[in-house]
Amino acid sequence: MHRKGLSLIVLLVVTLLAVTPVLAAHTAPGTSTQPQQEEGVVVIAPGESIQIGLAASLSGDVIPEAGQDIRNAAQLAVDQFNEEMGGIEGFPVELLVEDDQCIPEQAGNVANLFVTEPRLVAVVGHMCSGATAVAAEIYEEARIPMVSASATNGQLTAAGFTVFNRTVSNDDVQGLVVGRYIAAVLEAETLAVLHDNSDYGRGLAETVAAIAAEEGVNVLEPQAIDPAEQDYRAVLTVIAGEAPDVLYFGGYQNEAALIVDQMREVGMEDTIFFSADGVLIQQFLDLAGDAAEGSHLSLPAAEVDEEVNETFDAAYEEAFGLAPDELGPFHAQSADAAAVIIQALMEVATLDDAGNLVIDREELITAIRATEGYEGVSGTITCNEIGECSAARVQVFIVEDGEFVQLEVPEELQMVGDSME
Amino acid sequence: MSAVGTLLVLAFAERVDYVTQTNPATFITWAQLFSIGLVLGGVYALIALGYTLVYGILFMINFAHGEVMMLGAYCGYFAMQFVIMDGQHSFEDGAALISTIILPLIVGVVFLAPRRAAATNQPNESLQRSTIRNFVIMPGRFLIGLLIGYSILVALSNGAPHMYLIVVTTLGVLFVVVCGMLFSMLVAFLLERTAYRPLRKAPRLVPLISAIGASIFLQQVALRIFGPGRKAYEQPQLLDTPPNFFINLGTLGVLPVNKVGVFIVILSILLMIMLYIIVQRTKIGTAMRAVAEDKDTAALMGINVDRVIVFTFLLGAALAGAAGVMLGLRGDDLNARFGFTPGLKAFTAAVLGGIGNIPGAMFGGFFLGIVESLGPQMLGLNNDWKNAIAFSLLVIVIIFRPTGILGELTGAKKV
Repeated sequence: MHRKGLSLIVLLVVTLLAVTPVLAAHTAPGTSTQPQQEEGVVVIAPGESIQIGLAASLSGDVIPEAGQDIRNAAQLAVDQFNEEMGGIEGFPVELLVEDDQCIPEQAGNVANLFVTEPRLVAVVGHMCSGATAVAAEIYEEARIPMVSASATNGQLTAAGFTVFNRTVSNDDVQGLVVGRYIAAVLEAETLAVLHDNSDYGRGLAETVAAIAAEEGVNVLEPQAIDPAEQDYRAVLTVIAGEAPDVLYFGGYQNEAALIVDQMREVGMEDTIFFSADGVLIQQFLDLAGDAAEGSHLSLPAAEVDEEVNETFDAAYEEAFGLAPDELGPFHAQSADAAAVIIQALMEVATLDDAGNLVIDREELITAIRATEGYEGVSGTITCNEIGECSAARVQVFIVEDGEFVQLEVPEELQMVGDSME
Repeated sequence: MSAVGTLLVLAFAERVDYVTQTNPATFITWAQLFSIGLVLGGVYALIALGYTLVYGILFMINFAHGEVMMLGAYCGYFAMQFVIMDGQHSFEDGAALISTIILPLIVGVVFLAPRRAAATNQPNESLQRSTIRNFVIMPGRFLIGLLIGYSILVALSNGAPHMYLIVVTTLGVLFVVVCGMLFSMLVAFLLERTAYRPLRKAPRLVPLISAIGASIFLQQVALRIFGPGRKAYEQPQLLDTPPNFFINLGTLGVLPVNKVGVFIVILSILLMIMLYIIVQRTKIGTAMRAVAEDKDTAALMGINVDRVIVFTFLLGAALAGAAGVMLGLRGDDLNARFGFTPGLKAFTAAVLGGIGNIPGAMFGGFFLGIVESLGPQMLGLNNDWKNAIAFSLLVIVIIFRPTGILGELTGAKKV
């Protein structure tokens, strides 16, 4: 009885504590310095900034360099906009950066943090596909639009999110072209498929496997590796027993560097290593050294205005002290992601009578998806009805003498069939 | 219980038989898988010994052991960078430079040692003679040793270049390994002082939590200092190009054998033999065993328990440091989380073999390595299942033998 009484008191106190601020807010609306927030509308008082969130892996195990590249590029785009245009109606745009380490749980935490920020209107990111899938659910609920510069998994746009857009190409397209390339150009008879069990790596590897099988290549059962480990010799030995012509790997550069090194040990010198944009990073060459020679890597990239690119690269180098290519492949997409958001903000933001900036969340979501013909650093950006904004075509590179050298991809392989959306 | 065990073994045998019948991998594939498991097992065993040694004496799990290994591997990386002068010259040139210092020193010490042993057998030596011995003869002998060592090196470099390359590479690699071992020992020493010793009298869970905290702390410190990017060891030419030599098995095919793998297995077995000799044959080893048996009684017998505990930590850390450097030489890339997975696996190996039992840790390490490597192929499963197989095995072993495979002797008194 005594116990029950105590817990009742505790319950009462907790309830009171929880209700008090709500009561205070309702009884005295005039005393708050914050403008009143309506549902679905962001109101920003004069002198405050409009916030755009950015979430990427900045310290995690998955390509933190690429994450820093994404952050730098978006920061540059925002700074340039503030400097040149003086903000939106005089309200500066501010980038709020969080590190999600490409871990889905961490991405959920970051997203939950972002949705509680009252002045945060949109998000650049997230960086990795697995993290993005988790975060997109949360933003969908909170009606915060997002533009990712690097989350390429095909499922992300197929899932029907209204808030998710990306300035980078869909892996389904990349997988399609690469699958055909392996069959038609490399003329592989047997293809082994390996992935790292990430959304990105697995999705890409399975698409390539399916397309190559359609094209008549003998595709071995896909095998997975654990990125927490570094010894893949056992699974490579089993694969080597089948003597494949090509080994396709869906994953990131750290594991790829180990794989090409260990392929030599298990006697797979004659097998071509093929991977994608997750590996197309200087660090892959640094870690793998000679073992990287002859590796094929694909990258979705659009036709770009050379002049715009050079100006951007120069500004980037001036701001951060190093060339963007040294860090990662997604800077152009990231700058454009930020720019697309700012572009849409300029369309929908209005001033109210009190001089506050008012942004309707639903209008912003619609405006971002309606982006058409924006001339960005990564090419012309036009979003379609499911949020694919990139006009990229798939390029293939080979590693020669420690450099990425572009190879020609036959035009007929680029044709996207009716089966694709 | 034993009936269930028999049934499990039978089911397992049936499955393996079925898989090997339906998907006959070549003998070479099996042999290769086995050799890969052996190398992995050697590394696991070395790390597992550290867990087992500490557990044997303190009954605590040193969860920061993986991080001790990681820091040893990092130190090895910097030693390697020192040898190659940050990439200014190749490993061989750097190793040659290092060898001109190390080899004469070693030969000099070798010249010193037996004479001193002989000298101490003369108790009636006059003071004057002993002064002469200390200040003239001994340094003289040492100098002669230095000269002989140096001339051996010069003679080799001129007369037998291939032999010279082998000697120089071995010395260079040993230098890196020893650096890693020493740094790991330093880390373990500090760890014992700051995180474990103050909690010696606390309930058993307390040092465990302290160990987990130390593990996270060291990981984060490494992340801040060395950055999130991965680092790869420079590979000695002799071990790396080409990475394999081939054994012709006639009709069975040609078996590629990884050179670094052979090096790792040999070095790990040598280190284990050294450990065994230290524990079984030396004074401090006897003291270790006494403390493991009963700390209080050992203290009453005049054993400095604190010193023995520190020594145990150092011993385990040295093995872990060597294991870390070996992983680096094998081509693993260093990062701050580098120690976590091998540490966890090695802990598993220690439990599998019977924690607190030294031969158990060795056996458990090799056993786990080989099961991990062969398991998926034997059961005809995707490589995804590798860890599931290894850990199911652990559970099964623990169900039937709660003290581990070789853990019988120590099991009873420690619970």
